[in-house]
Amino acid sequence: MKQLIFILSMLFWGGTALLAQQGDSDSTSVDSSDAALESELAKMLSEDELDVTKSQRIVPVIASAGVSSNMNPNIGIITKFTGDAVVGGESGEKEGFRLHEVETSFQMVIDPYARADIFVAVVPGEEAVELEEAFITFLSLPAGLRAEVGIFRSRFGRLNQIHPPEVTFVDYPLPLEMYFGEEGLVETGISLSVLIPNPWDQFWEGVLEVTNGDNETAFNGNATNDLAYTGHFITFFDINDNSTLELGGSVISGKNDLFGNRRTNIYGVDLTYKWKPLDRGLYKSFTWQSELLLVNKNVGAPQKSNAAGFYSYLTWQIGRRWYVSGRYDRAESIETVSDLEEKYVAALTFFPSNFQTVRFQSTTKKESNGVTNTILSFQLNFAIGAHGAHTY
Amino acid sequence: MNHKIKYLIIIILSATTFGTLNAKIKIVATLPNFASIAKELGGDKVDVTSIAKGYQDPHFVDPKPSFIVKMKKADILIWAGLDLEVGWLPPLLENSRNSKILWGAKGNVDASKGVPLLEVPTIPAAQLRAGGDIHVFGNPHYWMDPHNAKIIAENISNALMQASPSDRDYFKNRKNEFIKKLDVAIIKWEELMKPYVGRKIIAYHNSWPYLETRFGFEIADFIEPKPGIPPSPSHLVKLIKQVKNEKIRIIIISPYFNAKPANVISDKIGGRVVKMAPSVGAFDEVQDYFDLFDYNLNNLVEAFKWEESIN
Repeated sequence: MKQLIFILSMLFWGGTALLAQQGDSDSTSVDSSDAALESELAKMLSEDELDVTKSQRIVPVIASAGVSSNMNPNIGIITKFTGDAVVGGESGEKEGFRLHEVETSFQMVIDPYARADIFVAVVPGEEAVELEEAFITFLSLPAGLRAEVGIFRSRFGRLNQIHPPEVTFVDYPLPLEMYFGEEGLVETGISLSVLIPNPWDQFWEGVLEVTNGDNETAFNGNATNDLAYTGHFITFFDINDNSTLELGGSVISGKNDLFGNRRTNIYGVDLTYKWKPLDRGLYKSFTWQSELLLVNKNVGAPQKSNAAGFYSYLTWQIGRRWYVSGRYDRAESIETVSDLEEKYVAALTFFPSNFQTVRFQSTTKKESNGVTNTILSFQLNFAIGAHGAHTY
Repeated sequence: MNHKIKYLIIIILSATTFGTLNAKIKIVATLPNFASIAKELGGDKVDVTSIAKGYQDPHFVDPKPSFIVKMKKADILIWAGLDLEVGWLPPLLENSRNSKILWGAKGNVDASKGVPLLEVPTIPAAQLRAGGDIHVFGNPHYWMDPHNAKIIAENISNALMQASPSDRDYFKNRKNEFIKKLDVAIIKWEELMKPYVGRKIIAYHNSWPYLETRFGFEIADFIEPKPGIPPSPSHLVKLIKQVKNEKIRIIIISPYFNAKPANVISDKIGGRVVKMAPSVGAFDEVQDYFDLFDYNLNNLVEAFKWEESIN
């Protein structure tokens, strides 16, 4: 019964959102001949591509108006809301509605040398305010260096840098969740990056981070004074005007016990292919992104300390506001020998405008003990205020 | 020993001087329109590249890291401003680590500086987005008025003179020549459009107010109900009634939009869809800033003549 109510409400919401998108027409003046013409036009229109888009990750900033607010930083707020229902298998997972977080960003150039980025999340259930990121970026240091100092999402891999509400799916891929925890790898310290000159004039970027290694899943939390070190190397190729390939390699190393004797090393490889025809960029695009993670955790012999995880997803833009996505995850547990989890994810995403996201997702999770369940999710994001550009 | 050092110093000095003498000023422009004007102004002393292509929607350019490599080496960056590139320029520029072109630097040229803007919104920011994709500072397609190109040229030329003071006279002359050439062309274009002042057309998106204001034709309505919102069938029904009443037959559209709704309306009203060049490079025929107006205005005139012939 609960499921039924939930599904109905999901459909209701979906319908409302779709109708709202058409809401600019005023139907009051439509008489019967108009209605016939309207349905004819609807048919003619639907013969073509669905209709178009702006890149889902690019949202215009709106500047504050009025003299009094001119010196305020750009403030943007994103809210993530979901509803989940277990539709198959064991119902051990959480069901019902959830407002995940209200993420507020404050961003501004500080002076000719630096900018500041601060992200604060208010999480309702925990009645907590979390400082997600707060860092200063020195934009142009000697020797082509760029530095970030503060609390930041580590440049390890590719997906980790994306804020949770902006990930292409309702959930985080298994390997990131299992090896770095639900929030991903967020660290306190210094991040230095450099563009490496090369004879081919390609984009080669090297990143070195020295952080506290506070992550409790991979390392020993903030209990000790040991530091963690991250290295990240990115190469980017333009295959042609319409398609690109990005290849990255990452490594992070830190202590995982209270005495500072044992080390966790995590290695990552990421590969992203993007296709977007420049003249039809509003309507069509395709992304294929994959990451492989290898964890080597010294927990003291003779216990197992190696685990591998992998995710790969496709996103296909089928119209100006519509995207279809699929993802496969597979990750071995670090703690338990031969514990393997898999996820099959399918999602349909609709952007009523640049400031709202509506997503329907089916997630099937398989555990190595044979337990399988499928969850249907509905996600609604809405953003107000300034929202800065995203990286490619 | 002393001689060797002397020679070495002479060699190094002459090498660096030679390098500087030979080096062209590297310019990166966000849009091909500014690249075209910069080429006119800089002649053979500049090396110009554009990030966006003319057939691409300038609001939604992907900030590919390969653009960062270009920006890293640039002496001058020219951008449209007014939040047109807000979704993609900041991550490129701020990753370029190039203090010559960063925000506020002398090599950072906001081409809109001093341009009289159209459609600056008057409603409060909190209600602005109810109107669709409205630009808070005003309509950013200002290069579509050729008079504004003089202001753009002034902005670019100042940066060129800053970058290479020894070429001041060269750049000044080229700027004067460009403005002279432009003035002659503007008279020609205004003559061309004179018979069609007050003629009504419709457009897909609101990218043409500067062209409209300068040349006197009138865009009666848009296919998009609000900027950035694709049209619904019921909106099209309303629009078809309106254009039939007002006897409008011409619909203009940029090449990066879905032409289907325009074709559907044109079909219903016996009209014509005119593909306009929103920027230099939109079509093969539009190679520079002067072609932009030659192409668009000639196409419009041809359509107006066709309209007269069937009425």
